[in-house]
Amino acid sequence: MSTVATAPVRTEPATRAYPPGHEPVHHYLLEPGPGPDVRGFARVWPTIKAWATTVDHKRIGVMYLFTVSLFFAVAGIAALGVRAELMNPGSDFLTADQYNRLFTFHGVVMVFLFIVPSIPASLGNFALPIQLGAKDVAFPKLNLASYYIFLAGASIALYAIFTGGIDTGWTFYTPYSDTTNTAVLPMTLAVFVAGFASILTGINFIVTIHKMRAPGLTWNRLPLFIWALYAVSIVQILATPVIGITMLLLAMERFLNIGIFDPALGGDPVLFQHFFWFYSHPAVYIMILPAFGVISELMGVFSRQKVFGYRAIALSSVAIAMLGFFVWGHHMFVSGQSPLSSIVFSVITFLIGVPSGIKVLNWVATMYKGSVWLATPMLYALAFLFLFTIGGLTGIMVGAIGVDIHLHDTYFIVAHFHYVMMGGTVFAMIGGLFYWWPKMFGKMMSERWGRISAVVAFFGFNMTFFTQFVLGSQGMPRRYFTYLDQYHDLHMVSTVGSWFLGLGLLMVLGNMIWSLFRGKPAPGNPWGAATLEWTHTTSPPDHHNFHRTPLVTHGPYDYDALFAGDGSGDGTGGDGSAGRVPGMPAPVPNPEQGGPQEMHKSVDLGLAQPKSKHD
Amino acid sequence: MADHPHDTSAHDPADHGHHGHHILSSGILLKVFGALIFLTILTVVLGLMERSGTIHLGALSVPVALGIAGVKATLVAMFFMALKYDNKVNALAFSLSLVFLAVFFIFTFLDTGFRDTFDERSATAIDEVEMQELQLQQRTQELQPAFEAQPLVLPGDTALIGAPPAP
Ligand code: HEM
Ligand SMILES: [Cu+2]
Repeated sequence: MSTVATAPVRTEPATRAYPPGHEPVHHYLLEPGPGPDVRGFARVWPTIKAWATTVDHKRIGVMYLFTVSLFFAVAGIAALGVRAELMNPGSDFLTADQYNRLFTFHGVVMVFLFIVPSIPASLGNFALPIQLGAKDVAFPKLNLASYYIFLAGASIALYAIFTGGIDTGWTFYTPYSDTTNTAVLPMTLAVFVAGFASILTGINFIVTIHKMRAPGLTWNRLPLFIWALYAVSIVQILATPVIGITMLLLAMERFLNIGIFDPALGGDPVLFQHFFWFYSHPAVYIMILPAFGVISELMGVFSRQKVFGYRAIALSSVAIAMLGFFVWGHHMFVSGQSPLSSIVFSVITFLIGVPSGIKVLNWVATMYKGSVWLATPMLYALAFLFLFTIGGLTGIMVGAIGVDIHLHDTYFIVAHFHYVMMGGTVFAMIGGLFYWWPKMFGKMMSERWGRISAVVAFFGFNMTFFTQFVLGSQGMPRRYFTYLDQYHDLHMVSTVGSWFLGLGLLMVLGNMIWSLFRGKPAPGNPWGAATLEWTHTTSPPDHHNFHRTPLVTHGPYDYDALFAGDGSGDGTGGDGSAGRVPGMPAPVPNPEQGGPQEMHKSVDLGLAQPKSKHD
Repeated sequence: MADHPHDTSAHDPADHGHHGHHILSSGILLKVFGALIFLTILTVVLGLMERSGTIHLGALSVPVALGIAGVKATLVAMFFMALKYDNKVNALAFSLSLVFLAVFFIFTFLDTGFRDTFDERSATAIDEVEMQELQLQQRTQELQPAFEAQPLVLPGDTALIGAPPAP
């Protein structure tokens, strides 16, 4: 190598139509296009490569979104199969053994591959850094690693499924999981690996929230979605290693015959349940807390009011995260655990109802005297409110020892957790999806079909699962592939309901696809929200989210600060801190003046709304 | 490591804190190492003595073993992981993880330690159950001849209830 500096050589391939970042239209979804001379596979390869190696949180969020949606669809089809088999007693098209594998497949995929990563890894990954006014998460490469680790876990799970599947139920209870000859080990390995993805996301979020907030974004101005993700991240980091350890212990027992859970080897099978639920109860909060966050956003935006009891909602997320570690024994009331611990766990379980109730009441109070706008996201949020309340209250019911002895392992439990996981988390996620979709893809979804889907899914959901409360209280056990004739009618209703539910969800899918191709272009802030992802970037956002780091001058729900006043949008109002801030640095000249992504400096200062490339 | 000449530069006071790595003198490291070895031997010796019946720790056996292990872990965390010289927040985070572990232990102990309270039937060890089953089988076998010797339906009864069905 010569040390003499030569004239700068143009390393950029001549095949680029524009230098990166200077295309007429550029945002994070687009790759700088190759010139017209590039043909065939070489045309798409740069795009594929750019996506596969991206460290952009928005792209990773989108990739996660499609991956978890795929798992949701697959596991959902399995669920329709389970319901179809249960339409009539006896064997219709599955043997008892196939039935066991099918419902386990449904449960494992839904829990470990869909619902745990669902909201945080997709919507959270996309929205969290933008809501914080940051360019990315704190560790972008770790973020990408988390996605690939998740894929690795998922692949192992697929391997387990293709080598025969497992029939233990998603809880892997010993001693059965020690003795069944189905693929327990690969499946537990899959759970172990996927857990690391969850931990990495959690670490990333915590550090990002602590270190990368935009100036002016104090803890009291954090959007509630962020607070919820913060609480979730704590749980993810603390609890997830425990499931990893549990799965390792199970493997050690099966491989090395070390007695841990198997009584024949001197172990204690109830100990497995302690280990399992020490993770899995906090995990149900990993599933629901992000949904709480989404709902808080939606309630504020679509009621056009400050979220009532902001601080109570924020701190109750953290309280739930903490308390959630002390209640796992409520899954073990009939396992033979000591009566003393049953009583202690039962009491603490009741306490969990308090922060959950605080949230529900605050959301209702947010709507009170607001101007509620029944757009699709809000319809899903209202469905959530209704369904989660039923799910939470029945949780308190089964948290009472005496009641639970009757209801444990019946359809009542199945109904309870579907009301929270499906009626709660999934409905909130769909609501959030409708809400952030325009920001993610720059396209509006169909409002009319959105509303229809919300109604159909809500109707179908209740038809499917409310019947199961009744079935359970009459004694229908869970995980059985046949039943007595007396349960026939209600099972029939439930199965038909599942078709409506499936139809509603199919409409959502259709709506997503339709909007990508035919949807109306989305403006920068279609819902008139006041958080940074709406007020400070275009739809879809630029690669680096913001041209300049925004300065936050008001709370996340101070709609009056943004939209009230003389219409000039100078934002006098709110907590009075809006408007010009003394000592604020002079705006830096925008190097991309005149480009389509140009934004007025007032946008960066939080005083005006961004325009989309489409406006 | 210690013979590496460049390492000494880290002792330069002006450099201190820049790298965030506290360099411990080999004396301290050796002392900690010695303590760890000693505690390991102590654990083994205690275990052997208990097994041979020289001492009786009884219910204390597990707490003592865990206590020694805890001291060792603390030494490693404080010196080898340098938490003692690090930002105190890190030490706090580290201890919180211990609190977390304690929660799991304590609550699980609420179960395993109190299984036969309230006059409850509690879990029976599997060998005990097997033993009972074996005894039951033996007893059945003992009684079998006497049982078969006595016909279920006596000849006089057939008049009342009809002949027994052919076997
Ligand atoms: C108000 C809060 C809640 C309370 C008091 C509560 C209480 C309970 C109790 C006592 C059980 C055990 C019933 C039994 O097996 O006999 C249970 C089961 C379950 N809960 Fe909840 N729960 C709450 C919220 C949630 C949430 C938010 C989720 C998930 C997002 C959830 C998911 C589940 C699941 C999956 C099971 C069944 C686990 C199994 O045995 O397979 N729960 N709940
Ligand atoms: Cu629970």
